[in-house]
Amino acid sequence: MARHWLGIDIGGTFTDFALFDTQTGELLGLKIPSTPHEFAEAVRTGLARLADEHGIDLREIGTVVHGTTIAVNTLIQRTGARLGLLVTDGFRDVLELQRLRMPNPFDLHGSRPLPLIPRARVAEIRERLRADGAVDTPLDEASVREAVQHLARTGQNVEGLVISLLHSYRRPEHEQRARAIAEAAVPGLPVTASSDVWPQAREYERTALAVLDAYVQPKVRRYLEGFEQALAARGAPAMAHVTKSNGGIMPVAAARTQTAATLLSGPASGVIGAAYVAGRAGLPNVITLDVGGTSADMAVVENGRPRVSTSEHIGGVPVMMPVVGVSAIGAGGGSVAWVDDVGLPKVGPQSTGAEPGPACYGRGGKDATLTDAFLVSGFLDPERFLGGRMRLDRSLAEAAIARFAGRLGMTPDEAAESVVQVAVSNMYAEFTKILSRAAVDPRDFALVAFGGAGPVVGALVAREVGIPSVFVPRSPGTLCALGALSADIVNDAVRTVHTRVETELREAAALRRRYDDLRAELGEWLARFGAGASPAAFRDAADMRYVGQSYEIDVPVELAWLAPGGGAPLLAAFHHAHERAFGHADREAPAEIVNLRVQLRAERPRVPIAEIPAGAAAPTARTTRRIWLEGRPTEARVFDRSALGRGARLDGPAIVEQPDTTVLVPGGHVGEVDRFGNLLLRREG
Amino acid sequence: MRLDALTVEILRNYLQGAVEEMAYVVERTAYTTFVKETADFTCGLLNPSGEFFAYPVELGVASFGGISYAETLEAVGPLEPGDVVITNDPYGSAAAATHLPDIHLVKPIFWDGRLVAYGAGFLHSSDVGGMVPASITPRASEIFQEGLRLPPKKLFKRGAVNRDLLDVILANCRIPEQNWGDLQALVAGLTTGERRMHELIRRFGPDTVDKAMDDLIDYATRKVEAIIRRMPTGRYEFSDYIEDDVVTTIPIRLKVALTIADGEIHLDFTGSDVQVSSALNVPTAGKVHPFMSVALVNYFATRDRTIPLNAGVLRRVRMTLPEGSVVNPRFPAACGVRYATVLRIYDAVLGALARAVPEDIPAASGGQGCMVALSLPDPEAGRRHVTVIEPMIGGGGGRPARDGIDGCDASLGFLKTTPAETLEAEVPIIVRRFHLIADSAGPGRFRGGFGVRLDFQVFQPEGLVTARGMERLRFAPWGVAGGTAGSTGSVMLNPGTAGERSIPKIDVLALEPGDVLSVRTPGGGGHGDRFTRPSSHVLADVLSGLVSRERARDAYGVVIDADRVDEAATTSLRAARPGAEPGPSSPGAVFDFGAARREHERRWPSELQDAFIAMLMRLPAPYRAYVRRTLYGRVEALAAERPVTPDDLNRLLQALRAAIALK
Repeated sequence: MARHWLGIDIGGTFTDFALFDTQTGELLGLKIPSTPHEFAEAVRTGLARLADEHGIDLREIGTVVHGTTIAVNTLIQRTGARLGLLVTDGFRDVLELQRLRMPNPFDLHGSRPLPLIPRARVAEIRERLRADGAVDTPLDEASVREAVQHLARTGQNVEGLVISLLHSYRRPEHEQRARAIAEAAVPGLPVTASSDVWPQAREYERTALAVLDAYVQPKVRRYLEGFEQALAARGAPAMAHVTKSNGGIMPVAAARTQTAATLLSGPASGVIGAAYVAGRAGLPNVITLDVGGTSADMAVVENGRPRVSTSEHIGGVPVMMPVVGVSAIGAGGGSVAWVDDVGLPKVGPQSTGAEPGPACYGRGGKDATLTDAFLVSGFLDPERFLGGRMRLDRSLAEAAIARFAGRLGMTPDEAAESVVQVAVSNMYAEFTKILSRAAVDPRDFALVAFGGAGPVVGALVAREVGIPSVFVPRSPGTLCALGALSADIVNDAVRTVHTRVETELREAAALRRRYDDLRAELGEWLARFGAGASPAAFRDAADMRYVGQSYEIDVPVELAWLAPGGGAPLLAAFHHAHERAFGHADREAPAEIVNLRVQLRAERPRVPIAEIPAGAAAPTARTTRRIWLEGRPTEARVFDRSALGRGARLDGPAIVEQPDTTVLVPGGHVGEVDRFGNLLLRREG
Repeated sequence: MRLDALTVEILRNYLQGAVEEMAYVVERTAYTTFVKETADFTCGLLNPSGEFFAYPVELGVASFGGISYAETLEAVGPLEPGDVVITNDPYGSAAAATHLPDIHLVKPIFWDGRLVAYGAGFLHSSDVGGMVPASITPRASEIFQEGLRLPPKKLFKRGAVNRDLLDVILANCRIPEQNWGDLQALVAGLTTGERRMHELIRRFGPDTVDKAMDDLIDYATRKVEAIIRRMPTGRYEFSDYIEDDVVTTIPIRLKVALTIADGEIHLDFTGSDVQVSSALNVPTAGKVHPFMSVALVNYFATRDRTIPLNAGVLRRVRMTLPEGSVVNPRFPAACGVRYATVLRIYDAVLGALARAVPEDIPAASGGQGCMVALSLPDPEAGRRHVTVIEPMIGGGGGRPARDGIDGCDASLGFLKTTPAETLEAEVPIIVRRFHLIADSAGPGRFRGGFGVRLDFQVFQPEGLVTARGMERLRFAPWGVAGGTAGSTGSVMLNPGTAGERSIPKIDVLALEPGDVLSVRTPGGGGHGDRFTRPSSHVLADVLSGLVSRERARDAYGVVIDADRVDEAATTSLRAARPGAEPGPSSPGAVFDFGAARREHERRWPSELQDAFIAMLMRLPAPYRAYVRRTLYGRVEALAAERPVTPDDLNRLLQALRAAIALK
C-alpha cells in the first residue's frame, strides 16, 4: 500500500531524500553524494539505504516526487542534441540576432550567447501567415522537403528538428503540416513544433523555447528512464513525478514531452518547500534566502505562492513560460574573500566550489571564504560541521583569513567579520532590487533562511533589509525534497490573441471559446497524466496592457465576465492590477488583451508537518563559545537544535547547531521555537 | 580615502543598491513605453557639488555618470527641503541636459537642516513640443524649433507642485498626461533615494556618509588612473566624419587628439568642424563631458568591470572643446540629433585608442543608431500614428581576438528589436525579411560583424517613413590592424521587382500601398590581415551562408571545393596575394577607410582640413556657415584639377572676403 511518500532532490553536490511515513507521521531525511556521471546511481544508493539501514519496505512507497538539474546542466554545458531548425523565409537569423541587445552592452569584447542551433543548420521554408492567422503565402511543401532533406540527410545529420514559423501561435496549421512532412520524410526523427511547446507571440522567444525543449529532450528522457528503472528495480511503484519550473509537479510521463518545463526543477523545489513550511507556521508572505556553497538565491512568496516570472533568462536563453522567480548572486559559503587593486575588500562572485572548497576543509584550498570567516568568528564548531561528519581545520581558516587581513591592516577577527559584513551588504544590494521590482514592503514579510549558510547570516541580512523576523525551518536540509512532496500538479497554457477590450466586449464569445479550449486542453493533459490527483481547479488570466505599451501585466479573469457587456469588470480588474504594479492607472485609455492564460492546479495531499513536544521555556545551553560580532568578542551560548522543545525561548547572542546548518542569533535578537520546531528570530525593541 | 576600506566597500554596496532601486522605481512607474522599453533614463545620487557619486548600471543609460549639475544648481539658487528642480535646457544647465527631450530633475536631500546630497536623473520624454511630433528633427536650425526650453526652475517648492510652471509645460507638449506621469515616476525615484540616504545617515552618521561620497568618487578615480598608467604615453590622433550636415552635402569632421601622460588622458577636439545649421551639434559647455568619452569609458569598463560609473571616471580626463565647434556649439544651435554625432565621436576616440592600445580596440562598427519609423494616418484618432519599426545599427567591428558582433556593437549594445509578430499585430505591415547580410562584414583575421537587412511592406496609403540617424552610406566602417573596411549601408525600394530603385539617405520617404522598403545596415570593419584568417573559419562562414564562395576566394584567398577547403589551391592563392593593400590614409597607420573616404581625403588632406577649420573658427560666428559652404565648393572644384594647399585656401578666402565685403 501507499504508506510512504518519497521526495528526492537531485542537486549537483548532494542528493537529498525526504521520506514521509503516513502511518506514523514521521519524516526521515537522508543525504547522499550525487553521482553526476549517472544521477540514478545516487537514487539507487539512497533507496538501498532506506531499505537496509532504516528498514523501509520500498514496495510501500506510493508517491515519488523529485527535482532534477539535468535539463539546466545540459543547457549550461551545451551538451544537448544536434538539431536543425526550419523557419519562415526571411528570418533565418532569428537565433543569431536574438533581440539584438547585448548581455553586457559596454564590453568591447562581449558577445551574445551562442545559439543552440548554428546558422548552418537553420533552413528557410516558403510560407507566411499574417498576424490575424490569414495566409499570406501558402506553405510550399516542396521547400519543406528540400530543407528536411538538406538538414537530416545530407551533411548535417541532425538528431532532431524544430519548426518555428511566424504567427504559428495564431494558426498552427503550417507548422503541423511541415512536421507531418518531415516525419514522413525521415521516419523516427523527433520533430518539435513551436506552437506545441508554447504558443505565444514573439518569434525569437518562442523559437528559443522550442529549441531549448528539443535540445535537452534526449538527455532528460534518458535520465528519466534511468530514474524509473532505479525505482522499479527496487520494487517501488512507478508513479514518479518531477518538479517543474512553475512551482508545480508533473508525472514523469508528462516530463518526457515537456522537457523545457523541468529547467528550474531544482531551485523551484526549495522555494515551494520554504513557502509550505512557513505557510503552515502561519507566515504566508515570506522572502526566501537559500545560501549554499556558491550562491545566495532569493525569491518572493506571497499568500503561500512563489512569485512567477515570464521573463527569465537561463543559460543565455529567454524562457517565457512561467517559472518561479529566483534571483541569485555569487555569495555563498565557498565565495572567496579578496582585496581589489585599490584596496577594498570583496567577497565573491568567485567561489572555491566543492573542490578544493574553503581553506578549513583542508583539501588544499588557500583562499579565505565566507565559511572560513564563519569559523574564525566562532559561528561554526569545527567538530560539529555537518553533524560532525566533516571536521573543519580552524588553523587553516585562520591562516587564510590572516593573509586577507594583512592586506587590509586588520586583525584576523576584524577581517573575518569584515568578510561577513561585505557578503551581507552584497545580499542587501540584491534584496533592495528584488523588493523594488516586486513593489513590496519588507516590513510585511518574514525571511525564510535555509541552505548551509542562510541561517548564519539570516538575522544580519534581515536587519539590514528591514525584514522584521527570520524563520529557520526545523530541517532546512530536506526543504527541497519536502518542497517536491508538498507541490501540486500544475500545468500552464497560453494563447496569444491581441484583442481590444471595450465595455461591450464584442469578442466575448470568441474569448470564452478560447478559454474553454485551453481548459479542455489542460483537462485532457491531466486525464492522461495525472492519475490519483484530486479534481482540477483552473485559474484564468489575461496578459493585458494599454494600447501602445510594450509590456503586459497578468490580470485574473472571471469567465462570467466573458459575456456581452463584460468589458467593464475586465477593464476594472486591469486598471486595478496596473495601479498595484506600477502605482498608476489611466481609466480613460484603451486597453487590450495580448495573451490568454489558464493554469491548472490539481491539489495533492500535503505532508502533515509533525508537531514537537513542549520543552523548557528557558533551555539550557550545551556550552558557550567566544564569537566575534559587531567589533568585539562576546560569549555566546550554544544550543543543540534537537534539544529545543516547543516554546523554547533564547536570547542572543546565541548559536543553535544542527547537522544541516547553524543558526546565529545576534545580540538584541530573541529566538522562539514554534509547535513544529521552527525557529523564529525577532529583533527586540 | 577618508574612510577605512571596509566601510567604503559596505557603503558602496548600500549606495549602489539604493541607486539601482531608484532606477527600478522609475522604470516600474513610468508611463511611456519609450522610457520602459528603451530605458532612456537614469536616476542617481549627487554630492553637494552636483556630481554623481552613485550611479545605476543595471537599468538606464550608462554614459551620464560624468554629468555635473553644478551650474544647474547655481542657476536656481538656494533650495529648501521638498524642492525639485527641473531643466531640459542645454544652454541653461551647462550641458547637464544635451537636448530638449531629456528632462532632468534634481531634488536636494537634507539632514538636520543641512543640505547633504541630491537625487538627480533624467528621462527622455517622447515629446516636448517643437516643429515635429517627438520633437526631434535633423532639420532644426535653432533650439527654439525643438520644443519648450526649460531653464533650471523649481517644479516643486517645499513639496508642493509649482502649478503655474507645470501648466505651461503641459500646454507645450503633444502628450501632456504621459509626460506628467513620467515626471512623477522620476520624482518617485528621487524620493526613494532620499529615503535611502536618510536611512544610511541614521545608521552610519552624517559624517561617515559624507566621507563615503568623496571616497566612492575617489575609488573610481583610482581605478581609472591605474588603467591609464598602464597605457602607453603619447599623442594619438584620429578623425572620422558624419557624411553630411543635412543642409549641405559637406561632411562634418570630428577630430580628436588623445594624449596619455602622467596618469591622465587629454582629449583635444581642436580640428573638429564648426557648429552646423542642423540639429547635429553636441552641447558640452566646453567642459569635460561624458558624451565625448563614451568609447574611452567603455574601454575602462572593459578593462575593469568593477569601476563604479560615477564622476570619478572622468576625473583623470581633460578635454579641449573649441567654442563654436560642433562639439561645443554656441546658443542657440539646434542639438536634437546630437547622438548621431556622439556615435561618430565614439568612432574617432576608438580610432585614437586603436593607435594607443591596439590589443583591446575593435575596428569601426556600423556607426549609426537609425530609428526606422513609419507614420500612418489614424482616421479614428484624426491624426497620424508613428511606430518605430526597428532600430538599425549595423555590424560591430572585428576585434583583436574575436569577430565583430552581428548587427550591433558596444556603442549601442543596449538597444532591443521589436518582434515582427508584435509589430504586425499593431501596425498593418508585413516584415518580409530581417536577417544578416551575407558578405557585408569587413574582411580581416577577425572579420567584422554582419550588417542587417530589414524589408517591410505597407498596405495603406499615405505611409511616411523617417530614418533619423542613418549614416555610413558613403564612408564605410574602417578596418584596423590591416583589416579591411566593411560594407556601406543602403536603402532600396521594392527590391527584386521591376520597379526596384535605390534610395538616398532617407529624410522623409512617402510609400505607396504595396511598396516594400529595404534598409540595409553597414557591416563592421575587419581586424587584422584577412589573408591570415584560418581557412576553417572562412569555411564555417561559407557553410553558414554568410560568406560567398567568391568572397572566400577574393577577399580571403581561400578556395572552397564542395564543402571543404581546397588546401593546395588556398596555399598557392594566398602565396600570390596582391602585395599592395589599399594605402593607409596617414603615415604609420594600419587603417583601411574604404574607397569613398580615401577619395575624400585625397581632395581634402588632413592639413588642409585643419587649416580650413582653423580659418573658419577665426571668422565671426555668423559668417562661418556661409564661408564654409562657399569655399568648400571652390576647393572641390580646384581639387578636381590639382592638389589644394593651405595657401590656396588663403587665396580663396581673400577673394571671397573682397567679394562679400567681409572684414
